[in-house]
Amino acid sequence: MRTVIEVCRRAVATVPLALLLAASALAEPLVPGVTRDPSGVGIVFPGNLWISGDATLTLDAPETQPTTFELDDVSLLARWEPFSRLAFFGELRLENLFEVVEHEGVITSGGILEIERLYAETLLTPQLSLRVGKVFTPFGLWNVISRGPLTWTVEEPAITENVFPQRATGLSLLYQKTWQGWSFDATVYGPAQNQIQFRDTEDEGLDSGLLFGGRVAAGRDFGPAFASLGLNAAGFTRRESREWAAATGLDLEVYAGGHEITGELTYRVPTAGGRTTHGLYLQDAIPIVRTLYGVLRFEYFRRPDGPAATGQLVGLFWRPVPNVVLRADYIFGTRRLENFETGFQSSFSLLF
Amino acid sequence: MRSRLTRILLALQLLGGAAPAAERAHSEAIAVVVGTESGVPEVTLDALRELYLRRRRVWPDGTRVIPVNLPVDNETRKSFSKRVLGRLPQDLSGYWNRLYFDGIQPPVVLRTPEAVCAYVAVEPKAIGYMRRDEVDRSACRILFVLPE
Repeated sequence: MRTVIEVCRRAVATVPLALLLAASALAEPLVPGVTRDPSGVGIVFPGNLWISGDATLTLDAPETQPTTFELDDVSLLARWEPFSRLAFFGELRLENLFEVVEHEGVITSGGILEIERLYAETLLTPQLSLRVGKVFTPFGLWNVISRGPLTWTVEEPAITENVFPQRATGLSLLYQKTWQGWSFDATVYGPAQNQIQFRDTEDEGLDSGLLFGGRVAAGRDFGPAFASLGLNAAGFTRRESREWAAATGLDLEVYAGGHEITGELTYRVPTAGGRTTHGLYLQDAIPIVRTLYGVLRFEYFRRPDGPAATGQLVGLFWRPVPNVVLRADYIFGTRRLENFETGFQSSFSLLF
Repeated sequence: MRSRLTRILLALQLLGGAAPAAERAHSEAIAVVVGTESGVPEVTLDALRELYLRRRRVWPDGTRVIPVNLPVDNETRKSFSKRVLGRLPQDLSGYWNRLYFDGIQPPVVLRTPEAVCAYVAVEPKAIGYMRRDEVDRSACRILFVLPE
């Protein structure tokens, strides 16, 4: 118990210092030719080079596991547009730098450096662009921002984790069009996947192979609200086998009265018959005051090897200044799963 | 009889004072402007929506588009956002968060309509908006006026 209090005390002590640093970073004038991104996060250098980054500290107190406090990840994002029709984008992520675990003390592993995304993008027409490289698979709404600090909650919904290939390497073709007030989006991608747990057995581990998929979405205003509906489909296989699996899904987003309601429904069909993995989430981000939001989420998730689990999340998201994000969630659930842990989670993120 | 009624209504309107700022801004005509040197001949409402959501980032000739916004608490900005983008500025925070992860920035913000006009006058790739009565026609060209 004493360790938990100590972990919490250290976490709380870090927050004012980081807020002070963030505020001073905002106030600091930039050198001539270097400007701050209009969003308040990111720096724009001459030659259309944009650089941003973030670092996230998390405090997890799951009901059945030891409490942990960790420097979860440090990311660096860069986008360079040498010409108006050509851009290069990269994201580096340094994970697991250090961790304080209840009853175990400080664990430092030196961190794992990963290239999360790396692609070149060219505009073929004003509406059509081609990306070549590694991207977050544009399957649904959540996966494209993945574990970024600007997601409404610390933990991602269970159905968005390892059910479909989360990264795609190869070609992505994106089409965006607005017509008569309707917004249309279409994406196709392939041919390679990166690190998907192909079967729900521990000995299979992570693998990579082929992947093809696409998403189409349409949205428009309905009076004071905006709503969009997307359809997703992906087929994927391990490199060594010729067995294919498929994931299909629906996603929904609605903006009304300051609320941001999002939801996804995903089905993964195994290759050799048997039970599917499927699930959904429905989430509402509710404006409370200025930059403080309440978050409610309902989840349903069923793996092939066990009964279904349902969960609810109650959370807070606060962005007092553009480069500071504080999140706190409590997850209730009927059943504990590896990616569906009940308990308290919080995070503090600094963006620059 | 009809003109007397009009005069009475006008007098009552004057006695009633100005409408609330938000209501006034919402009902006022908003002009979409480019610089007088800009080669942009026209822009549709759909195209304007794409430009201000950064879904489209180049003009038809391939040059970069620089959309310019007024501050988030400006009544004209709120009205423009509602009428063109279908949402108030604060309702777009989730949308911009998503674009942030691809390194795509929201439109630049200038503090006043005068600053917008001065900027588009010297930057032919820029496009802005303001109340129609605020347009400095020596520096800006009106592309179209948003329907009230």
